[in-house]
Amino acid sequence: MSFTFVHAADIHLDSPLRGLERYESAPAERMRLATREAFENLVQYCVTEKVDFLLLAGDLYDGDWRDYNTGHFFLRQMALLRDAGIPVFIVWGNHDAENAMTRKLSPLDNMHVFPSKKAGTKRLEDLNVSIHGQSYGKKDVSDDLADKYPSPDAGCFNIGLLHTSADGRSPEHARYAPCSIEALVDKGYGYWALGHVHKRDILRENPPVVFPGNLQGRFFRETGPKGATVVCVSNGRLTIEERRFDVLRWEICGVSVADVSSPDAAIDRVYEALAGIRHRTPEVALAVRVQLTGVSRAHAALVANQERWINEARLRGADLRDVWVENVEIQTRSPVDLDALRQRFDSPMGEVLRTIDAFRSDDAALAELIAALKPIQDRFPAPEDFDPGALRMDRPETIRALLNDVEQMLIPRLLESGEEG
Amino acid sequence: MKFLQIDLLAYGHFTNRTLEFPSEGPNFHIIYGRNEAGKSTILRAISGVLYDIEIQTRDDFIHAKPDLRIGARLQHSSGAERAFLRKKGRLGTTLLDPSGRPLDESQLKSWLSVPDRDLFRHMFGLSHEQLRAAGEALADAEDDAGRMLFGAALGGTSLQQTVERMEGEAKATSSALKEALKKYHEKRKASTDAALPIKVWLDLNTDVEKAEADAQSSAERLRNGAAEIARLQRIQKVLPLLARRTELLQQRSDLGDIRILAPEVTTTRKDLLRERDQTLAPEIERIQNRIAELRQERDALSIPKELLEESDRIRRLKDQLGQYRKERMDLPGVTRSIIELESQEKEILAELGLGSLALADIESIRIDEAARKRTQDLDRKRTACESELHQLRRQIAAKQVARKQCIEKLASLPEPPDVSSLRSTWDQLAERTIDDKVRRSEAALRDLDAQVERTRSATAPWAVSATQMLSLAVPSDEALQMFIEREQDDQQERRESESAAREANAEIDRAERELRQLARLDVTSQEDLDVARKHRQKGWDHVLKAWKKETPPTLVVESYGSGEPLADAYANAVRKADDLSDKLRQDADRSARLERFKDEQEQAQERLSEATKATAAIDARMRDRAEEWNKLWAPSGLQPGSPREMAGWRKRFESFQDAVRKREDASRAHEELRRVLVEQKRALELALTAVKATVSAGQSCKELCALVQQTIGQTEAATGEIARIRAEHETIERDLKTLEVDEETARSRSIVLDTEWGEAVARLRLRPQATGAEAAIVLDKLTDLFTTDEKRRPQDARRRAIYKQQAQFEAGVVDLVKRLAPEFLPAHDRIAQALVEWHASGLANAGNHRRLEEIEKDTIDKLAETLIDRHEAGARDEATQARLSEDLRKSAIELSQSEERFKGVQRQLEALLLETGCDSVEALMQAERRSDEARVVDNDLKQIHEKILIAGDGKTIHELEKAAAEDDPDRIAARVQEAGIAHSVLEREYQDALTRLGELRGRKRRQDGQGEAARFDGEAQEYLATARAHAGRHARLQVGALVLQRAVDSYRRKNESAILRRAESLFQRLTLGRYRELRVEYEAGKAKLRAIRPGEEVDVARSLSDGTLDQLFLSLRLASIEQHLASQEAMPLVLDDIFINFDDERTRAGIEVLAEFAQKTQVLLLTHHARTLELAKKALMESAWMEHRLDPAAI
Repeated sequence: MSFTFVHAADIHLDSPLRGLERYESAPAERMRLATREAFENLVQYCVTEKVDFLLLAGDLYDGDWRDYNTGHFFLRQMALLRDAGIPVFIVWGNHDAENAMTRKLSPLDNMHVFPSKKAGTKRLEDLNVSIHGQSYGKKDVSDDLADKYPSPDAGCFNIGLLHTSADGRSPEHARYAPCSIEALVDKGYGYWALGHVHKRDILRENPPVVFPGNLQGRFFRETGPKGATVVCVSNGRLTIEERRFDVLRWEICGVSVADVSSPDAAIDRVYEALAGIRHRTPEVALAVRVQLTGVSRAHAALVANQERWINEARLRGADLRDVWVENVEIQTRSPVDLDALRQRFDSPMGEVLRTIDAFRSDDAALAELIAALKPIQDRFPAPEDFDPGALRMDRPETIRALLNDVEQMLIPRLLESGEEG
Repeated sequence: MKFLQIDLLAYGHFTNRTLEFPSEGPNFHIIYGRNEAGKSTILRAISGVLYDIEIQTRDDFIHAKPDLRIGARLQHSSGAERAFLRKKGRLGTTLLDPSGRPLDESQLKSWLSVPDRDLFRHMFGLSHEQLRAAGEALADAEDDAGRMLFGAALGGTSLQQTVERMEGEAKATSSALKEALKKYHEKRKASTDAALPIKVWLDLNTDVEKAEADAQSSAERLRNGAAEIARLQRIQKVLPLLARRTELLQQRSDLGDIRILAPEVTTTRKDLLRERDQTLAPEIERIQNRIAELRQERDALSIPKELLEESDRIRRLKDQLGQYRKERMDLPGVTRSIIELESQEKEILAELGLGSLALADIESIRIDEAARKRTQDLDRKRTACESELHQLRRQIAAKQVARKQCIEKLASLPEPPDVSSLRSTWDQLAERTIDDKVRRSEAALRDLDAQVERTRSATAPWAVSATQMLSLAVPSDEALQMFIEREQDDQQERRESESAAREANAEIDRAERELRQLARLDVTSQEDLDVARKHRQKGWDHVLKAWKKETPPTLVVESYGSGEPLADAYANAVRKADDLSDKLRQDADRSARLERFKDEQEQAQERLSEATKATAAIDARMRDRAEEWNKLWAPSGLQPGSPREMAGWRKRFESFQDAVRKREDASRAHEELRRVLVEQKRALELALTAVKATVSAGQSCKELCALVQQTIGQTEAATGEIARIRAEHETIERDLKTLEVDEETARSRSIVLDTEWGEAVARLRLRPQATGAEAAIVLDKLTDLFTTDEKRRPQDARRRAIYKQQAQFEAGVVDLVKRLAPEFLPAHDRIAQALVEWHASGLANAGNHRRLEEIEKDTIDKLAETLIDRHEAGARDEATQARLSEDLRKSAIELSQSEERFKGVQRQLEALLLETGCDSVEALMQAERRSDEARVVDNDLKQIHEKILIAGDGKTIHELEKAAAEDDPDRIAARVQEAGIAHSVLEREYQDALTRLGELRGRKRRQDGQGEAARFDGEAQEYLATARAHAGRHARLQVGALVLQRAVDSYRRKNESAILRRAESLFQRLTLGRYRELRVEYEAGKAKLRAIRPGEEVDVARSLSDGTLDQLFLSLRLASIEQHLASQEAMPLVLDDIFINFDDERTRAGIEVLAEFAQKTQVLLLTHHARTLELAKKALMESAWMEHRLDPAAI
């Protein structure tokens, strides 16, 4: 018996891309529904390749998303799979559990949603496959759900469908339905289809215990190709293939400008680096965070007019097809020996540097700066649960980092020479 | 550090331009150059050579960027010197040693107390524009003492610019931030508006379902209404049709019993009659007429059969007649041509002297082609051979002359000497420019001696001789560095300790002052109150005791009160304690301060004590180390200075060691060079003498070399010339022999050719001496003769052929005429007879004969033509006869067919009458008319039935008649109208229901899976990201401004005392005493700088003129630099025409200040004002400064 199925998770339909600034020629318009397009890619693949079934391991929606249109979109896609005769097996995850849509949406007849009260099993007689799963009934599931999953059906290929943080090795993800990998292995299933962790991870090869990662990266930490896992079972032998479905790829692009002398040359370097990524990844749009590094003569000019050079980098990026320069972090350092200047007690520059040091090391002084910046902080809405770029000017560590930036900004400005005679 | 030399090798206008600043000379240099002489270039070159050349330098207009080179020689305050080059290039690769090899940047960096180019320009560079801008910046600083001091220490305007720029940027980011947030909120709202909440969706579903039910119900009612209208309209439509049906039925009944003929009977009958009478009968008649005409025409034709039997022959005759006519026309031309050619041939024969030779015999004089060519070749060969002979004889004569000249030259040249030995000596010479090398080596030795002495003297006051140096045990550099570090650490600790002690002392003094002040205020202490309360308690105890014993209130207790009655004393004590308590409360603050100052004083005492102890400990440690230090140096026998001094000395000592070693190496190399020089000289003199060259005593090696080269050169030239002439002589001899042999051969060939020529021309009937031209003429004539003859012969042949063909043709024609048209023979015979007679008469006349012949030929021609015409007419008649016969046959067949068809039609007509029961055609036509009337009525009935059935919507006639009978026919129209109105109402209702349903379904469709809300949310996130970026920038600027303000204040507090005092003194001098003091005053917590002049205190910003502001800035600037120099290695101060806006007096004062400043560091003042030089000459002693001029010619 041979069959093929696709295992996807963490679709987060209609979840926005975060941290991307608007600017002329950014491919914004086409990318705003990236999660939808990625999901359409997944469904299209299933239909084209005539896979036998699709597994969705939780977090179909964002928890706080209230637009019923998203549900309709999902059902439309499910209808495409139904018309192609492809069944879909779903467990709800922590985000789905707190979303009202999950309860109100009527499933189509090719969709099987596993219950939340206890684990259920669905048999596919023609393929001789048993799928076991349990949905979340509430957001905070702290029990080990896998523990109570049924024993494997004898003579069948058994699949466990589960939304879990597993052994919690990914600190970026909240701890839900924890379980040990050994326990999963010991269960005796042929494949564990997990969801929740957004980075693709194969926790165990035999039997495969797989996080496929999310379908579409949504901010700069979710870098690299995103997609689903395609599993082919042929006479009891498994082959696993990672297949990308994303429409916008997040990348971090480090660019050393140590040996360049001018900001223009630095921007040329940025362009070369972006072109390199574009060349290596031609199939998908890119959102790139550029990090300029190195001790460089161009440092002073770069930090003196950061906004301009960020815009220049974006402008050059626009020469390449579908490249969205998310941000340009100027982490270059001045060739001026700031530590030597810091030791110069007769120098005003030294005084500036020592003043910055004093701020850094004094909690009271930091509190003073936090208070000074409070009006800015207050203008922003309260940060959401998932908001990697949230403004945190109320935290000392943010202010310390800010002081580093100030040091790199102030000294070159004060050093800028006036006109010579 | 100072410059000893700046080499503008390739920079700006300059190429290989050097400015020298001697070490021993003054430190104040005025560099004079007119405008555009390159002062600004020098300013940039100075910072360029020390740090690096700017990325976007403007100084590459002559030398390309990669070729820019600046050199410099620096002298450290320790006396050490360093020379290097600077090029433009990648960071860390631009410093080179004087020979162009890369140098580590750190070697130079350790000499520069300012780590950055821009900082150096800020601190140690100042132009008049910068001075002016800085003066304005002082005015803009609103008397803020901190900003003035900080700005002046920073140099120039960058503080002011930085503050202004940051303020501008902060404003811009704030505005952008606000805008982005506004957009964010708008998009969020749009997202919320576009979202489809679940309740809305469910409500919409319910509404759609209800609207669907309403529409369905409305549609049902509408259908019922429509059915009623249809029924009434049906009845309305069928009523008149039913009446018409009744009427028709009556008409049919009236016609009675009639046989209905098939409709086609009439048509058939008409068709048959038309076919018989109008088509077939006339056709038969026409064919019969045609047959008669054809027969008549055929019979009229007569065919000449005999003539037609000779058809082939007559067709050939026709072909030959054309040829016959053509030849008759050609014959006269051919005859003329023959006569003309014969005449030409005879003429040529006459020219050749053969006029008697018949044309038939001319073959006897034909010369074949081979003989002709042979004669021509012989002529060409004879001519060539004669030319060759002439040429050879001329060359032989020329060679004989040249041979004679060579022999004479050889006899006149002397034999050159043998210089092989001299050459061998020259080739073995190792070094041909050794003189120069020895001289350079001597100069280098002198330089090294000077360097040794310079480096040795730099080791003073611990100077040693070069000999001592070798045995001197100097501690290692690591050891020295360790002592330096320790000493620095100790000094730092001691400074900190002293500083702590000073601070503690100041604290104690301040507390003491405060305490004294508080003491003067008679502060009540807790102790006073405690004493008063104890005293009150004691009094109460006495009162209690006295009361228990019931003593009078006037009782006096000796131990209590001072003789007062107890009651009074106790009352006083109570009052005093209360007063004290009140006062203590009032003085609580004072008391607290008192306590605090006491505590502070105690703590300061403790700190002082600790600091004193620490200082003592450090001193002890320093003493111990001083002993270690002396021990370290004991082996060297030197009494060491401080570790820092000795470290400097050690470096200078190492330079001294290096110099001595270099000197020794150079000396050895020099001796070796000298030895080689002597040997070479001796060898050269010997070799030259051997070839008898003139050698003078005392000639240098270089001169000897030149002599050798000259001698060898001259000898080689003479030898070469002789060899060349000998070779030329031999060549001439060889050539001469060859030429003589060739001349002999040519002569023999000429004789043979003459013999062959005589034989050849004899065949042309010419004498042997005939020239080539004569032979050529004869040959050409012969050629013409035979060419003409060849043209004539074919013409002759053709004429004969024509005669023969004409005779054959004429005989053929006569033969045919005799057989086929004998009637024409008499005409011919008459002509023939005339000819015979003419011959017989003997009256021969060529003209008449030709005419008769022509007449005969014309007759023959006509006869032939007649025969041909007759034959062609006979052939045409024969063809016509055949065609007519064929037409007759076809017409007979056609007639037979038409007659057959006529009979067929007649038979069909009879059958039709039989079928319809009529006995004649007329009876049939009557029956047809009656049948047609009945058929019309039947058709009307049928149509009316159909209409009733259509109008009745499928109902039967019976049903319709029944339905019509049920309704009142007069009310039907009114009822239809009423039903129509009701239906319109229902229709509107149905449309409304459909519209509502459509709208609801549209809404549902629009909200079915759209991504608008998500799209808006995405946009909102983009604006949020933008806002956050702006917020980050704004925060950075805000914190930057705070930091800068804090640093400015801190800098002022730490430096105002020292810098301000020094600046005050300079300001006083630069303003010629107009201002005496600079003072910081505090207003509303802010430190303001005030300038004091006699009798007046003024604001800096508002009251000082531009010039005075410039002088104030210069004072502050110089004071800041002095402070820098107090603890750091000196750096040269570079000033560009800073006195432009100063009057003479102030310029002079400025020059004096700078000359004084030059005691501390090197000062380079660039100016394009000759007046500045003049004032310097007046103000300063000659030894206090040095003048440099930028020579325009060198630019």
